[in-house]
Amino acid sequence: MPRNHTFLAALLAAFTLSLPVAHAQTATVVVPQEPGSLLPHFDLLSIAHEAQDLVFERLFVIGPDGNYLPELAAEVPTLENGGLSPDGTTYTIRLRPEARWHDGTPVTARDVIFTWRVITDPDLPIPTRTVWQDIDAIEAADDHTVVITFPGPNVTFLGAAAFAGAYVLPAHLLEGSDLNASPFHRQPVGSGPFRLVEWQAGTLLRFERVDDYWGENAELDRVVLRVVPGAEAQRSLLERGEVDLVLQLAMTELPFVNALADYEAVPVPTFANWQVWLNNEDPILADVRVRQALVYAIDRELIADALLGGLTEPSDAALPPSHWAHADDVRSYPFDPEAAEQLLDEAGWTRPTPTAVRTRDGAELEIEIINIAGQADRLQVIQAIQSFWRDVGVRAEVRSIDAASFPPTLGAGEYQAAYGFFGEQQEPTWNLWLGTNWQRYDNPEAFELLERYSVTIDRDERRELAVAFQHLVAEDVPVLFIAPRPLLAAATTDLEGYAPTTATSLWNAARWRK
Amino acid sequence: MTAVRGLLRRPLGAAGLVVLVLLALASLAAPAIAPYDPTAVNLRAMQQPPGPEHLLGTDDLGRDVLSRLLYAGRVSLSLAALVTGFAVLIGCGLGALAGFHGRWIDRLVSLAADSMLSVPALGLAMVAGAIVRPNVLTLSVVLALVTWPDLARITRAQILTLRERTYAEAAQALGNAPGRILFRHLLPNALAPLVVAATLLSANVLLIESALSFLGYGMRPPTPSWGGMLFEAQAFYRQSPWLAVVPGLAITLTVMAINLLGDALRDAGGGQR
Amino acid sequence: MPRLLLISVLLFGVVHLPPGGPADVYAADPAATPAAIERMRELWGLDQPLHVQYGRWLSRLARGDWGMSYTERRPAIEVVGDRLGATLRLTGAALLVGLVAGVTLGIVASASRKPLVRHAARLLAVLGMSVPTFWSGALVLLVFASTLRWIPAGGMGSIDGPRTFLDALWHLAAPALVLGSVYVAQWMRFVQAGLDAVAEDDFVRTARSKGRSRVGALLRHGLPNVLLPLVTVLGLELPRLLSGAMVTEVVFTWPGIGRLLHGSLVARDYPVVLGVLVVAATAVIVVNLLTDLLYGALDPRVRYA
Repeated sequence: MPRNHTFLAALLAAFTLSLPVAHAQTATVVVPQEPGSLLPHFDLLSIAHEAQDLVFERLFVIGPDGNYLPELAAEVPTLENGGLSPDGTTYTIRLRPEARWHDGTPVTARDVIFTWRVITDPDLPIPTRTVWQDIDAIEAADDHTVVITFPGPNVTFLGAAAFAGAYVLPAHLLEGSDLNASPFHRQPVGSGPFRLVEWQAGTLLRFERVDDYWGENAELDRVVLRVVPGAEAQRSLLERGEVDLVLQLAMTELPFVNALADYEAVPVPTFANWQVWLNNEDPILADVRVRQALVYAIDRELIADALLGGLTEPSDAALPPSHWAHADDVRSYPFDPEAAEQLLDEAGWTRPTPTAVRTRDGAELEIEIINIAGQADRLQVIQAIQSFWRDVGVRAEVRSIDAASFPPTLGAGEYQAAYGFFGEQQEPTWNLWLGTNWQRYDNPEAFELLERYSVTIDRDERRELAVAFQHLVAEDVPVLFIAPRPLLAAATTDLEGYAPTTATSLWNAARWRK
Repeated sequence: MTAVRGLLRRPLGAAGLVVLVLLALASLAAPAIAPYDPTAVNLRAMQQPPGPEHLLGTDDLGRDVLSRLLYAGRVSLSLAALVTGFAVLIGCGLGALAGFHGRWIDRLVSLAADSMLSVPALGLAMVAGAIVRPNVLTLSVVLALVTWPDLARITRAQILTLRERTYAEAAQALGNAPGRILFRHLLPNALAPLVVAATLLSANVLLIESALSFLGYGMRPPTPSWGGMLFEAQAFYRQSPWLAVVPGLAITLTVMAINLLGDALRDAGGGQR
Repeated sequence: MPRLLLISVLLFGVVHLPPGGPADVYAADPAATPAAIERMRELWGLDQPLHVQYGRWLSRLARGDWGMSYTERRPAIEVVGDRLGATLRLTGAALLVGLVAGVTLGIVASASRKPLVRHAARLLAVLGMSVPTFWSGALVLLVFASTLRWIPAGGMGSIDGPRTFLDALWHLAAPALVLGSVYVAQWMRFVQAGLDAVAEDDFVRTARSKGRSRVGALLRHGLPNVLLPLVTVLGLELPRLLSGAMVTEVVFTWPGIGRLLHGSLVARDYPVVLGVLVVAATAVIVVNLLTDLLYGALDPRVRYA
């Protein structure tokens, strides 16, 4: 049966070939979702930013320690080096003269100005215009110097320019073309250390080192982003050792990752909090005593230890402890069910029997929590909250809706409570308060502090304003902060140089080694 | 009655019936026999393996798995029964109307049925949570809306065949009103295949609900359903295999029992496809 | 034609009914401003009344333009086209698995006169349709991909190896078996019933008396009678295939339209969602039409208006 033998041999060959071949110079990164577009500014999803980070570059980046580092800019503009005018309105940015696009064209002031034009073009569907749209004038002093003027003192520009998505676009390739339907969305040309060479829809994106990169060439030959949405398939890839890095794991995966010999769990820093939005206009929740009672009732320390891997320390301040403007002495609400019961009694919500649901004027104290469907780790924490509230006589119901319905439902105020996270940035945009304000917080004093914050140049003064704001918020409890939210990644112990920041994880992929 | 006797002669079907009755009884008696409160969270006793204190261990929030399994059975089974009930109402009603009346009603019903069939049930149920508050009742209506077409088709086909038969013609010749013919003569005779179809449908509903829960869009907690239990446990299949095995087996066993019962009923007399 | 129109209204309505649109996906991000989100809605025409949006969509659809994907910024027809082949491969293989296993079990059950064999065959088939695929899929990955490492951890082909037929087959096996097991019982029941029905027919008896084996006689005379109505089963199962594929494709990292539908629903990428649904609806209609025609050919009493 020679035919059979050939078949068997071919089968064997297929099997052995399919086994992971040791590519010392390829880093395989698993992402749970496929990026939509690689043309920066159009897609706000963090996964798109990770992919764009390999191809494109920003003026500045945020380093692992939270400091700004220059990328396309030659230095970070400050008052000291004259990059920032004393009145805080004008930034002078000098670009690195050696920076080149992948086609060899130098990166110039024209590119930065073009990028600003794209971001603020009202005819393009771009979700992130903050700060850039406040720019009064943007001019090229010479080929490699951009002067940006704001109408008043501006303190958030550096943050916006170092923001995960703020990549500079090549004007010479894109000017005059319709960016709505540009092939550039899938065939980008950037200035970064890698270029996209293959995009298999729904499967992977393959990037290769740019050999004539203007900076120091990448150590790795290739970076592959594998799109793997299923949690079990991700676990399988980790157990088989086929991948180097898995991004955005649920916190529930921590024990699994810790049990793997060749991988370590890496907490990725963020400025985000897991939180419960409370609708401050809801008849029940409008009473500050009820809101305070709801915090007292929850053992957040236990939730953080048991469900969030002990990676995070609960705090009552709006900015998490890792943030430079965090206030560490705000009013705190340690787990105290008795205090909660007392506050609820005072608010008129009484318990007919020690185990019953509280009532007021015949109505039961029932709160519906909106949840984003699809993630078991969220449900886990919500059910813990539900159980703590039940202990003090508050009945909570959970309603899971899909992610796209979440913002409009909260925005319309058609909710009582909602569980999710909100992430601040290095330079706070205060979008939770000044932007969405889904909690419908209404404290003029607090909002005035935020307005003064945005025009104060001195960082220490800004911090004081931010701290004062956090004190007010901690008194009013418009939002219930559960715990800061680190992200979880799993990295092979072989991978050197992986240093995730609050902006992106792949920002320094050129320096990775295996 | 012949169907019952036929069923008893089919061991697989009889076994299915016994299993189903036992499961239903266990779920009904859940408040009496569940050792713990199925929603009692204990973050200090998470993922304890099966033992004398917790016969099937505890889950990722320290809740007793056996108790949750029993209560989840109530949710899953009552959901299946409700959906089937609604689907029978809609499907048989429209199907009978279409088959009996014919003409434009027939065309309209077929149109609606085909249209509904082209919407994937899972996709519709996924976004339904944002439109209606998902509880047992609303979820069953949504699922019934996507599952009725099969029943409508079968009813229509049955009515069409039966209409041709002589006794309907005889009844018509005797001057009976159309409604009377439909309810007295046609529907009772179409009953057997409908019972089979409805039985098989309820098995399918259990699977759809569990798939929906797997994608995270199922029943709202803390009311567990079996699919919901699997969804919540998916990160812990390795550390705590009982969390994966127990609810999965419950679903499989129930669906199998229903399917075997339906098969046997079909063989026993409801046999026409 | 009215059928297509009604389906299109239904699909459009269902997709647009829930609150939130493609722009809202970004609304919670600290970098997004409400004004920018509102502008996106205007640019995409999502601020228009629903019937206007429907009219625009339909008139474009009639010209073969499915619209641009909001997330991928390229024509939705390309997005769906890139994924369609994967789903055809998976569902085709699953149907084949179901067919082969179902016909085999059906023949075994019909040919054997031992009740034990018949029951065992039936039990096996029913087990297949009773296991939730997301659960069995995860267990298959856990046991065969993670622990035993016999199969790959999902995907349609090796990432770095050559794209050979065998490699594709190796990746296809597990998801096709998991998805295909659902259909075994349907086919089996059909085959068994059909064969049982002819088993006592004269020509089978004659064939047997001429020295043919029971199985041989059954196959020769029975199977052709059975295979034609199998198309009906296909027509009945097709609508459920997409729901099934949605789950299996997520579990096994299969880059098909089921997974695409799930992702696009979550991202409210209306043109892609509608594109997938239009493809699915068309498939259902075509198969139904074929079934009806076949029935018409088989049964002259069935007439059409």
